[in-house]
Order: sequence, then structure tokens, then C-alpha cells
Amino acid sequence: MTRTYTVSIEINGQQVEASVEGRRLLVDFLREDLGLTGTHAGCEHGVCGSCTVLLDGVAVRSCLALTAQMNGRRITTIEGVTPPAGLNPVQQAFWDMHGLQCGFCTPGFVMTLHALLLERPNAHDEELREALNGVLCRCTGYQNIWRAALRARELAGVAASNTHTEERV
Amino acid sequence: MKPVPLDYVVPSSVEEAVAVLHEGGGEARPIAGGQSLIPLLNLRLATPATLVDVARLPELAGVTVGGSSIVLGAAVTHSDVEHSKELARSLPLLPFVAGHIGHPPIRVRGTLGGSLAHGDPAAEWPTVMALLDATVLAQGVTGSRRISARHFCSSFLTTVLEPDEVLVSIEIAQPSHRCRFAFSEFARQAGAFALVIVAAMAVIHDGVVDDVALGVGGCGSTPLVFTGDALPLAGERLDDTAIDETARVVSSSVEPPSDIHASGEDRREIARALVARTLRGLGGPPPNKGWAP
Repeated sequence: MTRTYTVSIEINGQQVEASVEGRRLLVDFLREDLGLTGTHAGCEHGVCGSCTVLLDGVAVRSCLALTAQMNGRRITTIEGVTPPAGLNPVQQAFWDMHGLQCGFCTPGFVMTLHALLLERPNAHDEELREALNGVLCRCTGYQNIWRAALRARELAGVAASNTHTEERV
Repeated sequence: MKPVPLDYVVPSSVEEAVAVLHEGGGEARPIAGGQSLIPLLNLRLATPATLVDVARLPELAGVTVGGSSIVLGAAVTHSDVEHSKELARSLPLLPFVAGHIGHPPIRVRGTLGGSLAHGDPAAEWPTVMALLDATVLAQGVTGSRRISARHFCSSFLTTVLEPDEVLVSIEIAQPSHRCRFAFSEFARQAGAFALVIVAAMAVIHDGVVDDVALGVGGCGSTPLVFTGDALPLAGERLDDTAIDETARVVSSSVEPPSDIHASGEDRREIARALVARTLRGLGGPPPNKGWAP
């Protein structure tokens, strides 16, 4: 009988308790144990980016994380940033700019941009490129993904300045 | 593919980690960020029975900048180095190099110690730490020892660490404030594994190269370091003739590997161009400027 480990992980705002094997990858725990299939397993060695989730608010590769290592931490998946109805601003940007075809890489791009723009709503073009570099797309040829990223930054900038307005009031 | 079944242990001290590794008899391996190790696990190129998590050990944490040396904890992430204000002041080569490693999601998890212990000759830290002649501090059942970074990698993906040893910290002697650095790497895409890495350091006085060392990664089974007389530009003016001759001598002396990414001859040609580009980068205004892009 293989040894299992008890973990307590906050996932999309909810505390999850589970018993996992030492070798259980976070991507598989999310997809198969929790049914959160929005996170995708593309390459299983960290280069494609389709498995990207947020760990304590920062983008990481869930295919390169053991679930046991995530004990006590806070995970956000694509399900956690999608509103109950409609799309969040980054998703809306991808919709507006036709930044997806099959959609396999899309959660990876959305999570990556979501994390970046949350911290740096006025990220420079170079920072956007650096972030996008980490996710591979086999369908689109990237042009519309770039347009979507610029649009997402526009929407993030608007959101940021709205927040400041509210704070002043 | 998925990893083989394995046990996962989280020790609370280096002593405890060493004890578990020792008990494991070679079947237990340390894990920090896992950004190099977990791909190997997933492809079953590594099949340890036990993983010993060293990422949060207090002895492996932190960046300490003293008067004469810089000490980096083995569990410091590439992202920590990339964004360290202290290192930007005292040795900006390090944040510059860190920013070249993979992509941001890799950098927030991957560690300096993990990269060194992985022993990939085409990785940034093994090459740069060898150039800087850094000292690795390792701890095992018989005690601690200091290992020169220039003798740390013994072969491809192999270091001189014993199975029970944990890499604790890396110490770098603060270079002279007159020392200039340059670094570049060549990869087919930004963020992909580099084919060739070149790092250079030199003291340049009145346009003449007083002291110079070159680190080259990806051209052998370990990182390679060239110093002093092995380099034609030592003692010469930093000009195109000396730079090109040095690039020629260095690239003709290495035996780079051939694999699916590039032939040995391709790597040799890339090394020649990259050495020249990096040495040109030394020519910028002092101090610690002259980065090669």
C-alpha cells in the first residue's frame, strides 16, 4: 500500500482537505481529484504553460508541483477567476480579439496575464512579452493573443484607475 | 507519464534532512523547487524512493551581503535573486543572469542550489558560479565541507555531492569594484534551454585587459572556465583583433556535444560568436556595466 499524505490547501477560496500519494502532481489533483478540468496538462515538463495556476497569487506550473508540497498554501485556478456569469476582463479581451481557437492554451494565458496585470496593471510591452513567452499556442500564431494581451492591459488600467477613484471618494 | 510511487518527507533542519538521505542509501533525493527534478520524475528518468523537501529549511534561506563576500542560501529562488535590491547594488551580474532562467513561473519556484545540484553544464548558475570561483557549502553525515564551484560538476548532470549531502549555501568573494562583467546565452527561443552560455569578467585599465576569466556552458560535460594565459586578450587592448582571436581559440578548444537540438559543430560556431559578443560587452563604461544583451 503506497503511503499517502494529508494536505489542507485553499483552492479558489475554499479549504480542501485530502489524502494524496507523494507523487501526485498538483495538475492531476486539480483535474482528477477535484474535477477542476480548466487547468490542462500539455507537456508535463514545464515548458508549455497550459498547466499554469496561481500559488499565493503568483503564476507557477502545476505540472511541476507535488500536491504534498502545496500543504497550507493558496491555489487559484482558471475556475477561480471566472465570474459566475460572463467573463473576467482578461477573458473578455481574448473574446474581443479572437485570441483562441481550440482553447487548450487559453487558461494558461489567462492565468499568466491575470497574475501579471493584478500586480502591474500598467505593465510595459516587454513585461507582457516576457509573461506571454512562457505559454505555447499551436493554433493561433500568437498575433491575436498579443492583441488580447494589449486589450487586457487596457481593461486592467481602466479597472485600476476606477479603484483609485473609489478610494478618493 | 507520472512519477514512480515515492515517499515525501519534510525535515525541519539540515541535520534531519541529512539523516533521512543517509538512511535512504542513495534512493533518497533532496527536492527544492522541483523545476529540474520533477520533469525527470515525470519522464521517469529519475526514480527515487524518497524525496526530502529542503525548500523551507531555515539554514538554506536568505541572501547576506557582507563587506568581502556574498552568501546565498541554496533555497533562494531565481526570482529572489532577480529582484534582490541588495544584489543589484553589490553584484548586479547575478540579478541579470537570474532573469535569463526559463520563464517567470519557473523562476519563482526553481532555486540556485537546485540548479547547481542538478549539474546541467548548459545552465546559467553552474557556468556563472564556476566563473566567479564561488564556494559551495555542503553538509552530510560526516559534517560540512566547502567545494569550489569550479570542481563541483564532475560530469553531465553529475556533481561531487554524496548521496547524503545537502547543498546549504553558496559563497562568492566580492569582486573588485573595478571588475566588469558580461553575460549572454543562445537559445532557439527566449526562455528555452540554452545551447551555449558565456559569462566574462575582467579588469580593464586604460583600455588594456589586466585580468580576465571566461565561463562557457553547453560546450562540454561540465561548465568550462578559461583564465589568464589561456585567453589571447589577457594583457592586450580590448579591441576586435584580440576579441576575435580569443573567440577563435576558445571555440576551437572545446568539444561540444551533438544532440537533437544542435550538432557539436553548430555549438562550436555559436560559441565562437557568443564569446566575441560577450567580450565586446565588457567594453561598456565601468563599474559593473557592459552587459551583453
